[in-house]
Amino acid sequence: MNWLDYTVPGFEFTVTQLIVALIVVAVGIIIGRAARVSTKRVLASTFPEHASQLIQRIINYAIILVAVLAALSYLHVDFTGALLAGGVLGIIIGFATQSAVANLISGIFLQLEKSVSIGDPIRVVDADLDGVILEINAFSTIIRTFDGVNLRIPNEKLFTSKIINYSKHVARRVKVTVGIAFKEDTTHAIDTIKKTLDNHPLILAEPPPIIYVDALGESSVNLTTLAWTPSTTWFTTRTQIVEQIKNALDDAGIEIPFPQRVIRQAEP
Amino acid sequence: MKDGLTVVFRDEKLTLYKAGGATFLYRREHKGETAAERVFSSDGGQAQLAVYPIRPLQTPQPLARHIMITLTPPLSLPPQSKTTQTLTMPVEIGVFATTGSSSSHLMDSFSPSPPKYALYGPPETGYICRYHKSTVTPTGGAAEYEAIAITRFENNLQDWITVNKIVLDAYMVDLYLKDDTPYLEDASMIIESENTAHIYLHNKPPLPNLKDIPLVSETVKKFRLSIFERPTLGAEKFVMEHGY
Repeated sequence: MNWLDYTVPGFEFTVTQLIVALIVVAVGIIIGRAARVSTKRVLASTFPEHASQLIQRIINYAIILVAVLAALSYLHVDFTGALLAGGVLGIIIGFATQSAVANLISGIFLQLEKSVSIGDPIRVVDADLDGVILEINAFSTIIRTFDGVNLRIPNEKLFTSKIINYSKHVARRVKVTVGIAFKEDTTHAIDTIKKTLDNHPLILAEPPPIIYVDALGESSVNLTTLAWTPSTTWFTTRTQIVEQIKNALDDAGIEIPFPQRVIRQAEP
Repeated sequence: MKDGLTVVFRDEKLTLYKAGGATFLYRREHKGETAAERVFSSDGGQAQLAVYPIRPLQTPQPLARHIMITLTPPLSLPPQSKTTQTLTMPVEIGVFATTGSSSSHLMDSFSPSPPKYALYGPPETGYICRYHKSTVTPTGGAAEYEAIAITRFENNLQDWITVNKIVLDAYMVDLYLKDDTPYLEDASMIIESENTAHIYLHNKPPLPNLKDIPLVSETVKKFRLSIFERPTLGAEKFVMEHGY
């Protein structure tokens, strides 16, 4: 009897069948790797790096798993017990890893959606935090808050939150409201503010700034200024123009009043 | 520029001192206050400063890679017509340092006129541009510290159109000199539709007898080469897709 026809003790397959099964697994591994490389190439231009890597791994392991199952099937391995045990184990693992899987899937969707990228300054409204994204990992995102603290936020939490991305657009609007005394000439005040904005290099000439009388307040006539600036300089520009508008109104002799209340005492 | 010599451009005063040995101190004062200062050394103990007009990209900070030239008054073009007009465009002054056999280095730059920016297009897909208002004349000149932009306009439509602005990709802009006046390279604007125009930069001087600005053209050519390696990007053409 040829040794290739020798039945492996305790099993129902021959050495030949075992070799064929091993070849099937080996081919599965090779195909998995090839698929991984091809996927990387296909996704390179459209998917973020992290999401692409994750998809490559999933495809690779799925192909290997199929090859292993095909090989085991070829070797007449009975899956009934394994499936039963696997089912129970799957339920246990499923419950145990529910959160991890949710974070993993959220991480993928977060990257596919492209609502945030590494380096973006963002505000996570639900978590009431602001910061710059440093890393988007498989399960969590690392954010450096504006006060310099390193924060890890689970991807699921980030994905289900309202996110304001401050750098998604090239320009942002600055809004400044300033109150002037009722006795002041509003046209003169608006001209003064307009001149201040025109002299600031980072207040965009187009779209032009808008300055208008917004409300007649309790103690002042409120003038609102809406002006656009490059997103990257929004914070600096805003702080500068608030100060410059105040100084310009002071120089023009336009009063910015304190809150006032006229109290009349009734005759007894 | 020799040791201790000074050059003045409007509110800017440039000075190069020999700080001792092979070390030099460059200083720029704006209205009497120090605006930029650099110390550098030279192997041979000699240094040269070259001052040239450059593309307006550096000051107050490198924010924009496009230039928006607003035409005042706007230019109206009859159907199927061509015209050549002279515009102006902003420039900055670049201060280049060369020591011994080393290549030149842009050490400082400043804007002789107050810089201003504008948004071309909507905030989500538009561009931040260096903003400039230009007169429109058939054979005009430029104010001091501005470049002359001789531009051909071509209206391919069957209707009158009005050009309010042109937008250039500033990284592609090459400048030439005639005496002390900088010129933009040969440029043209082709009106393709009611909302779209193509701006072409032809990589050649707009007039005969213009000189290359040596260090500036070197930088632009290097950039162009790096862009040409990426064939998906149109190097010489900018599409004004958000109106003109």
